[in-house]
Amino acid sequence: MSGLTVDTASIAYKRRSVSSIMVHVMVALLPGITIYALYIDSRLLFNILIASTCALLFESVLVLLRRRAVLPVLKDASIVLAAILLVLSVPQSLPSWQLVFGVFVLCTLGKHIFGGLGHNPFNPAMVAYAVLIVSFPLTMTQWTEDNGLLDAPEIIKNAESSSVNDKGQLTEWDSLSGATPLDRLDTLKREAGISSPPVDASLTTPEQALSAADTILSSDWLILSVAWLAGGLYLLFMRIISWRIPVSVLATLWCLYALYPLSTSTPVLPATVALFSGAIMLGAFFIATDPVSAATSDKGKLVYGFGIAVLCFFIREFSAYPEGIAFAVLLMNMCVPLIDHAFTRNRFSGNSIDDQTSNRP
Amino acid sequence: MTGTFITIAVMIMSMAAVGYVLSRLAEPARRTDDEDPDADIMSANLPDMQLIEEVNRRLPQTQCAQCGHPGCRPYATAIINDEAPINQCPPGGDALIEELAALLGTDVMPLDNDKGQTKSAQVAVIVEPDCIGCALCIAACPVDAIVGAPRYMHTVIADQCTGCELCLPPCPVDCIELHTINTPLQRWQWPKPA
Amino acid sequence: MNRRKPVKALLARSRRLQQTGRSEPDGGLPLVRNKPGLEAVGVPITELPVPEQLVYPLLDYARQTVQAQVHVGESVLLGDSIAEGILATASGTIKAIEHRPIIHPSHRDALCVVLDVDATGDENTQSLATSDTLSTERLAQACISGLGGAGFGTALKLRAAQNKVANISDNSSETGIHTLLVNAVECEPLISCDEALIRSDAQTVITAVHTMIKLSVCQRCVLAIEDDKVDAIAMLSTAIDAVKSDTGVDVELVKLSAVYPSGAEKVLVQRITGKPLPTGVRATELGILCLNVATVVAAWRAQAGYPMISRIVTVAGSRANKPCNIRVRIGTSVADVLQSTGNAPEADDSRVRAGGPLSGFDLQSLSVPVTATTNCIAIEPPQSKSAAMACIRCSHCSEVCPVNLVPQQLYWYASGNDIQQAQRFGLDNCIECGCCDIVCPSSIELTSMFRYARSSWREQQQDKQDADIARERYEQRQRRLSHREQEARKIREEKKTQLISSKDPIADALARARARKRPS
Repeated sequence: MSGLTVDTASIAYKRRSVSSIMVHVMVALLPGITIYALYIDSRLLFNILIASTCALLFESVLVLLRRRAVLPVLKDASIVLAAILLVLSVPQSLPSWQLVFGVFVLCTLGKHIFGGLGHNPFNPAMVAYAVLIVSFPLTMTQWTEDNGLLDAPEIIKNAESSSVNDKGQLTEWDSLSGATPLDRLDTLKREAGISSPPVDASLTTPEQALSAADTILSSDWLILSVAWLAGGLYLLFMRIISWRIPVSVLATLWCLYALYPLSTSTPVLPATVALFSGAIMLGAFFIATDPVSAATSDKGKLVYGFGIAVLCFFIREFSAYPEGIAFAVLLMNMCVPLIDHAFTRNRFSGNSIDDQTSNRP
Repeated sequence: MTGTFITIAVMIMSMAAVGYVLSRLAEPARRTDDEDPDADIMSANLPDMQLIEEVNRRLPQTQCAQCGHPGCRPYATAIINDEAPINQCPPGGDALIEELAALLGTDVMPLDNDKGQTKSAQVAVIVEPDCIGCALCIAACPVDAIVGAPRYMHTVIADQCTGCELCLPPCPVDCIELHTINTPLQRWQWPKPA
Repeated sequence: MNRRKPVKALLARSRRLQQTGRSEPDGGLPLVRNKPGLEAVGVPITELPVPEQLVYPLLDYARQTVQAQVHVGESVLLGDSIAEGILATASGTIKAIEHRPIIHPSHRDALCVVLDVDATGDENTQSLATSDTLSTERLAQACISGLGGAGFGTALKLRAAQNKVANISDNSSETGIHTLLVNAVECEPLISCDEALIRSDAQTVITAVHTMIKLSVCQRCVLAIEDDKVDAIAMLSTAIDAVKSDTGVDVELVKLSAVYPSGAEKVLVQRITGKPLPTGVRATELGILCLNVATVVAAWRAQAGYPMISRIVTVAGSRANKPCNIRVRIGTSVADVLQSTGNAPEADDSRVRAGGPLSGFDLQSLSVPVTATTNCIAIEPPQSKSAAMACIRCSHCSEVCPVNLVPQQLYWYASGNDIQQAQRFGLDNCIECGCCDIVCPSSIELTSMFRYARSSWREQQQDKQDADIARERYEQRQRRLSHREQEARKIREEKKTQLISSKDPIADALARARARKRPS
């Protein structure tokens, strides 16, 4: 009934709309995307173009199938953001048809099967990533050669020829430049003759740990991680995301990496360096903070970030997958309803929501 | 192979640990009877008499017999004895079905349309010029909302009338009408936004 | 917190905390100051001339119909009682008692008393005798009710506070009022009637507060005001120093940071005492008497013999030609108010709103009468609303909620009609302030949903009560009928035994028949 609602238009308060929030996040991704395209792999831009176009296309079709108005749904730009995050998580050498399939999964299983924006319990980009890595394990873990648009001197080139050991696995990788530092670590392990993953992902000697650390520190991936961090700080400053999730993810991971060597004698990456390896920064600031699938209560966000960090650590260190953010986020998404239930309190009266509220008028 | 098993085992244990921690955090505060009167009822450990009382308390008390039982308490008794489903009460409508489903742990079902439609609030009004003073309606009203005596004028106390329509059939001159009540201002409700 | 410039806001906040020493609200929004219609300091408030007709809705605080104590054609004088809690605000003749449109979100009519005003010009509004001290009876006589927007009877509130038995916050069993909290906060944008009152005569305000201190016998008095009302604060400080009183209690002027909705009683009490009000507990039960500043002034005038016959109304809005604060006789129609102030809406699509942008609602008709709860009339362009999108669970709503609720959860449950579950999430505590509506990126109409859910809950409770009464009557009737049945059965049994035990049943029967025929 018109006229009975709050007159928000006449309040001089600049509220953010959903599309402006999505645009701010995309702006925060720009430094990282620029660095990625310039120094690491220029195919990123092409992949973003394909993924965004397909995402918009799939979303239009799905919204029409759901018998809703298409334009308002497309205008909120949330599917484009999810597609960009998916592209940033996969190797750029992924065949286009597999990327398109991933985008399709993102639109359907990740979002619209649950009812569209705001209704999905799982992070759509991570759902798509999980389906892709399970369906196409080879292409999803192959980081083949391509230079960035600029030729930076820090690119590590491993010129050894490839050879296969008796277990039929590559002991060295063929000229991979721009591989993620974690994949580089995998290579170092194979070089050292450590039996292939997933048995023991830690290194045997401190020298190898340092060497791995050097690799990371001197690679473009470090700059990329810093770019993600910068973008994340921009989002924090603009109060688009809350500090709780990124801080708890990073702090927990740091502690785990710092304390882990105490429990075993095997050295592992130094804690601070580990934070800048792989997709931790991207995950902490952009993926784990997706408001729809993350916890909403304040303390709940801390527990959610903590859980993601713990799971990510375990997956990274003890499993075949070099990067654990995706599965960690998905698993914690499952726990979100329970977390929110535990931490939502009727703080005005101090009672938990399980206590009966007063019946007084 | 052992590597795989160890990985899987570690994953399961860590998930179990996370789940255990969360379950301890999420355990609801112990409820006593003072805090939640539904606590004991939910488990349906109550003797039947108390359950019948609980169901009766939720019924709208119009005593209209539209459900096929001669009053609300007989219907409540039939529900507890599994002789009647919970969707027979038109005055209670869908809200009542949901409440009973929550109370008894059964499924929500749509209102049985054979029993009648949920009507908006109504009261009976006696058309006084036509009333012959036979007192048959007084005997029929289940909540004694009609005052009068044989050969004296009868009238319905509007506040007490539940709109059950039981007084209409006995009247030999059909002088009772049903009027929809206008909600008084203090009971006006805000409309639900789309 | 200011979302646009967080660092600046942080610094400002710590500065404010040092100054005031009061707790910041947990949530709320610092809205830009928007108070048109204020005159220069010291200028008295313009009084609108009494119109030809005054209309009084026959409704009490709970919107229940009250019985008229006058009849059509009767002459009444200013100050005469028209109904319980309603006074005639001018002398005249009762023209009619009929249904008229009123200021109510339902846009319905209600039974009203229509008064044709005698053309006697400026009459003396002092209808009661001057009294030395203010008493609760005088408050009731003068029909003083809350002028902050809710309109609760002040005498009733005072009595409730004085009769308070136990102090819930600590286990002492002190009775009576220990804090008088005078609410001059006026946090909603556009509404400035209280500020206008203070700016026109701050000394009267302080004198009135001292009178109320004496009546309430409190130990502490706090006058709360927003810190951006700079001129009003300066005038009040001067007045506090100037006005001497013998009560021994000083008026503490507390400047709160201007965060909406600090003027709501629940939020104000939390900001002043630092502790939130528990669910369902009123401030009076904690010994805090919270009164609007205009109510306090009206109470002081009652002591001097003037019943409450008028109130200050803000006329504002982006389509108001001449925003102003004017004193309006209660019962004047909104059309008269707008006409007399030169603010009659010119465009066809202008909306006229009773109340502020957040707490008010649009009016369908301009012939509705101003009552004691009408604090603002706003003329606005048509509402431009963006279509509501799905909730993205961003939690901005729970960040700004001043009563620490989680609006997104309440919205899920309320829209699914699971009001019971919404209650467990604290729907009872919702003060319907509108903060969540303002920040929602998806433009969801949260406050409207909560208003619906709360009124639906009240209706359900009322239905349950009605059903309980009906059940009792039914069971009493069953008992009566079964009792009668038992009695009848007993008599039949007795007769049967008589018949069986009698030696000559036929002779007995003939005797009984003869006894009946005999005239008695």
